Amino acid sequence: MEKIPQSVVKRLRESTAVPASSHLDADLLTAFAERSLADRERGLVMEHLAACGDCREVVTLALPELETIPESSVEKSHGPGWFVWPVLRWGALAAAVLVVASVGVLQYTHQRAEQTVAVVRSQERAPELPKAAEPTLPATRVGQPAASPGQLEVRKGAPQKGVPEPMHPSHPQNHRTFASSNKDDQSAAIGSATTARIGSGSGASIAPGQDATAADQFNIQAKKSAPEIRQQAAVGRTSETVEVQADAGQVKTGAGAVNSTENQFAQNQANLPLQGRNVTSLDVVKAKDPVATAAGPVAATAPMGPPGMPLQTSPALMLRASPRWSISPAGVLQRSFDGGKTWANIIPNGAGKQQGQDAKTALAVPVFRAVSANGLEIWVGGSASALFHSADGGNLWTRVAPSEGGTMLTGDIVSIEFPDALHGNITTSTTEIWSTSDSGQTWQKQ
Amino acid sequence: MRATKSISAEVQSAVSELLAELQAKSGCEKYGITPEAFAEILGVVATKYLPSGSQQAEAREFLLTLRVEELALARACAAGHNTAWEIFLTRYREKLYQSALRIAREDSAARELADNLYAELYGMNTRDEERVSKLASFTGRGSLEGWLRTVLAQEFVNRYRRTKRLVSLDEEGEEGSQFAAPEPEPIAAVDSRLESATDQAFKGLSGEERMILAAYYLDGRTLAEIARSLGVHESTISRKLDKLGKQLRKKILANMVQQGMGRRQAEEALEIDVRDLRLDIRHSLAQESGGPAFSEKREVRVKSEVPGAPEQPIEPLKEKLGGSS
Repeated sequence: MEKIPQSVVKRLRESTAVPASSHLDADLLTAFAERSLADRERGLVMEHLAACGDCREVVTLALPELETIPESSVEKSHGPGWFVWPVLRWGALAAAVLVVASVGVLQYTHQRAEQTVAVVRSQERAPELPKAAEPTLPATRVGQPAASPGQLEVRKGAPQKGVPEPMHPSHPQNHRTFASSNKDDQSAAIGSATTARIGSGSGASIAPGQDATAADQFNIQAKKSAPEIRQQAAVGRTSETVEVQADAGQVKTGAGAVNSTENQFAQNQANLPLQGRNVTSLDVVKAKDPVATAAGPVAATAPMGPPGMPLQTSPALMLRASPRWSISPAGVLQRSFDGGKTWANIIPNGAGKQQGQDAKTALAVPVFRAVSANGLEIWVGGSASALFHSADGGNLWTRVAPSEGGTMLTGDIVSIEFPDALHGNITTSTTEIWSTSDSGQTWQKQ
Repeated sequence: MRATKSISAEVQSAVSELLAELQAKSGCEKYGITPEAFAEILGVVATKYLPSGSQQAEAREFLLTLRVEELALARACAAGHNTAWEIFLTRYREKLYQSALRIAREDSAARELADNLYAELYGMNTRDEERVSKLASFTGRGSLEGWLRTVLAQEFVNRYRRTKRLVSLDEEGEEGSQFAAPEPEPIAAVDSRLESATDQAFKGLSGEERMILAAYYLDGRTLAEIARSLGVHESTISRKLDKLGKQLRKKILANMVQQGMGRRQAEEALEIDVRDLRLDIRHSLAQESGGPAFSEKREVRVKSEVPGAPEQPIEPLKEKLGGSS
């Protein structure tokens, strides 16, 4: 800090040396600290504070208990601490699901390997179209690095062939896949969608829309490059029936998934946030709960499901993956992964835990009064306008301090309602109502 | 509350205009406060804070800023209403102890502080043979919670000042009089022109600027603390302090030159002055676990605040009262 001349310090000291005959009353000092004074009064209080060390001391001492905040924000921006255990734990879970899933896919694809290999072999002779690489992109995003490339090869390769290659008679399934992607728009869509769906259902099972997109792309390719393959009527018919069957199975699986997902997530609808947005690999890690549950039903209910798919283990995951939230009578935030049988205390500002918290800072943990869980979006609030938000099911927390035009939320938070991830209302003990429509970025006081 | 000024007609009419609205908002009836009594309270509060001769519109605006719900609650408690007390205790009991702990930084002192305040809130202390609850002086300018913290802090500072005085008398023999009037200038050679130049520059400062300077240089507050007490961002305070330091130097130099000093002479006078200050800064750095870099220093201090170094709040005062002797 810029040094100021000694004479100024001396002058400052002199100006405050005069003992104030009367101190400001607690009301004014409080209103000053809460910024609820009009300019005129604020100016007067400021004059007094400039001259009165005691009142300055009082104002500073009386500041609300926020001392964990600078720490946690520091931690958040610089500290590697956040990235240690909580995230890894979920990452490990997601990775485990992926591994299990890809084993299933591998087994499944192994059975169909002959067909795949055959087609791939036949493609090697055909000239590659540069655009053909595109469809792999969405597929990788779906997250099945082991199994999907092979299958995709089949689909993208097939339409590239201007002239139908002689098929290996020993692998009739070749024709099925081959033709299904070319026969006509619909069967092609179903065909590729199914293949993609099987892969994704067992792999990462995210975003149903993604599969369709991939299928559409294949389709377009198919239409563009190889219309003449439609002439293979006999092959086409075979493939059609097969595909219809697969399709029916798929529909059933889909319905099953929806049903059980609804049951599982009646409470916190953890899968909702995933719908309708682009799923990236980052999301996969974040969204481990829905992944586990959505993948489960596919395996459990699909009659056409690949035999021996090991995902049946996932009901256990399902239970673990749908946390319930509660506030204990003592005002501690709690989370349960087993439907409420056991509860674990959650302290939203994780910073305290890492620093060998002593009794005093432990006391600074707010007493919570209200929690709102909407999928992975958790809001919790309590004493001294403490409000925390987690967008990942309670691992990472940020403190939120609603304010509007210089007015801060004051008092205790007594209720939190977030009907969806963006919109929410917060009521305080001082009967203030704060609402947000952008997930807490900005607030309006009512 | 001090001797009540008579409530002006403007305030009176503003109160009656808003009474229905404020009364509904405050829920005072459930605490057994009649509308008349509430109107009286509002009138007295408005009269206390509004400058005399305020117009009705000002009074109206003022009344709307009051936290009437908490005002009604506090006054009902002061009047001994049971429901009100229950609500008060549910809302604030625990917090009061937490705040006391934060202020006193030590458990037994915190307990004593909070218990004393409770006694005052209950009205155990009598004034003119009448039990007066401290809550009767709450006016709803700020939140009740903040008010309670402020009252605790005031009590703490008061008490500290008392004990400080005792300690000082004991120590007087060793350290010399700590309560001597503002000490004579240690280096008499300090140019009087420098002083008057400083005074002049000082006069140009706003209340806020002087408050920030005093909090930082005299009280040894951290940037974060100053920022929070003023309700602004830390970087704002940091920028302001930087700017103020430069500005003051420049102004003082200019003032000295104006008084007929040569530029070099003026700079030298200021240079000597800054060297003196270094002693002062070394003194204050000694309390700050000697963090060298600015940013580090800030963090060290923020952290050392948290686990509660009991002597931390005392240091600034000590420096203020006995420093630079």
